[in-house]
Amino acid sequence: MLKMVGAFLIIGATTLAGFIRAGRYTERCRLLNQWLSILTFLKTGIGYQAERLPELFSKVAALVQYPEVARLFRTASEAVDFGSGRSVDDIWEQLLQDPQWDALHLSDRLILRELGQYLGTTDYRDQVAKINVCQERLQQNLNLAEAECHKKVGICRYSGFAVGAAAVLLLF
Amino acid sequence: MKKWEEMTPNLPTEIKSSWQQVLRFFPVDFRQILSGIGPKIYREISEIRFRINQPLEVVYQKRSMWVASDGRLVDSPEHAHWLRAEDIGKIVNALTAGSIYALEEELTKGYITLPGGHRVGFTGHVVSEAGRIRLIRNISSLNFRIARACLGIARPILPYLWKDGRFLKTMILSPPACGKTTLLREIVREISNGVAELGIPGLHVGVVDERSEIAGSFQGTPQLDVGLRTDVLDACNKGEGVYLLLRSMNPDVIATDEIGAENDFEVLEDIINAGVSMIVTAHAMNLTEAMCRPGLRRILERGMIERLIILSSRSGAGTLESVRAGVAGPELLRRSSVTEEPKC
Repeated sequence: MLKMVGAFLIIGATTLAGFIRAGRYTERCRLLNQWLSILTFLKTGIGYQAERLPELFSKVAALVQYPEVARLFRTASEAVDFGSGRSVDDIWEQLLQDPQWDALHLSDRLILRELGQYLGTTDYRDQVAKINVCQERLQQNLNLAEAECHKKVGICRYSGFAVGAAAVLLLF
Repeated sequence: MKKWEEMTPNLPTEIKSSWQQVLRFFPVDFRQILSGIGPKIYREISEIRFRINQPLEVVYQKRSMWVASDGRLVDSPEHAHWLRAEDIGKIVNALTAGSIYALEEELTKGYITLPGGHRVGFTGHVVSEAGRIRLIRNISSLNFRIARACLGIARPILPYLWKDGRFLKTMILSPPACGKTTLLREIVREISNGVAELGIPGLHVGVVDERSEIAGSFQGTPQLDVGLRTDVLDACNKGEGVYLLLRSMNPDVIATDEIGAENDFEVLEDIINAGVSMIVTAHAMNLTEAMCRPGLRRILERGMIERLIILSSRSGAGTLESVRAGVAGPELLRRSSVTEEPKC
């Protein structure tokens, strides 16, 4: 009986680990998709409505589905408003450091970080151009991430179960 | 003829802009320095000036003073707080909320308007395109001009601007920084709200605010009180704005600032022909100087103006010199030079 429980626990733990690992691939795709939508929103707000960053960040906060992302943009909106002694770059950097974006790869973060260096500081044509470049690069990363996701999600899930089963066979 | 001082005993004025509202636009370190300025002093500060590698300056009672790091006003620049290039960058970032792109158009004019109607002037490196300023970058100087409403200052003049149930076509003349726009705003507010004591019903006033100075609009919303029945066309040139108002808003009075260009004559003529009254301002020391400006001369000689209000800064900004019944008409209200004007 005890062996049965142990076997279930081992298989359950490794399967869960496999699912968690697989989840990181899908999570990265989800976050990249979310960033692409946010950037489209920013581009429209900057290029066509000349809205200020505090209002744009507030609107992003109101639009996004996930409360954690909404909180980040609300905080950024308050931080960037009148009287802020901090640069937009600094505030953007802080936003990107949140654990919310842990599933993003370093290359994704670098692309977004680079945008932060220019955000708000140049004329609207340049802002739109910079956001377009950022979107294109993120889209490339998303394409790769999706391909990787298709390949590895199944493997991770099965391998989690398989490793657990193998361990059980070896142990008992 | 009554004298101005007889009519303005203890004129109620209200300072609407508090120092805290002004300070919130600055980064924390400058907020701390400026919050050291005492309440008696800040009520009379009209400008805060920042320049790279120069001391922090304020204009207090029309006098230039330096500000020390603890907020004291000092005469000697050695004791003042000196500014570095990073400070200016930080202040620009704080005043623009990190959104330079959103202020591109305003920046080409050399200033931005903030909530509350405060205005910030910029100088720096000008980038031109086809002979026109495209943007100002590497900003080196900033002038924060504090907007204050002086409620009640128009009341003594109003009886002279209202006759036989209509608002008379009025022009306010003065040199720069003598309170023309402030008086214009107050007249607009009063006639828009209506003044029961004088039998003035609330009028629909259309304001063409070319430089966002009259209503101090921020993102299209007037930040200064211009009355209940006032419609503001912000950042719109007079020529187009006046016709737009006439076509779409059916105003009783049209108000606009700083006329005097050659083509302004046609614009004013069209307002009059449309059966609408107007109130305008113009730069000139006095009537003689106004007549030397071809654009103004044409307007004044044609008898388009029924009331002329002349201001100076003889006893402080907004000193009323006279109210005249047009160019050739008699002087209706005169002020002696010794009376202290209520300050805003």
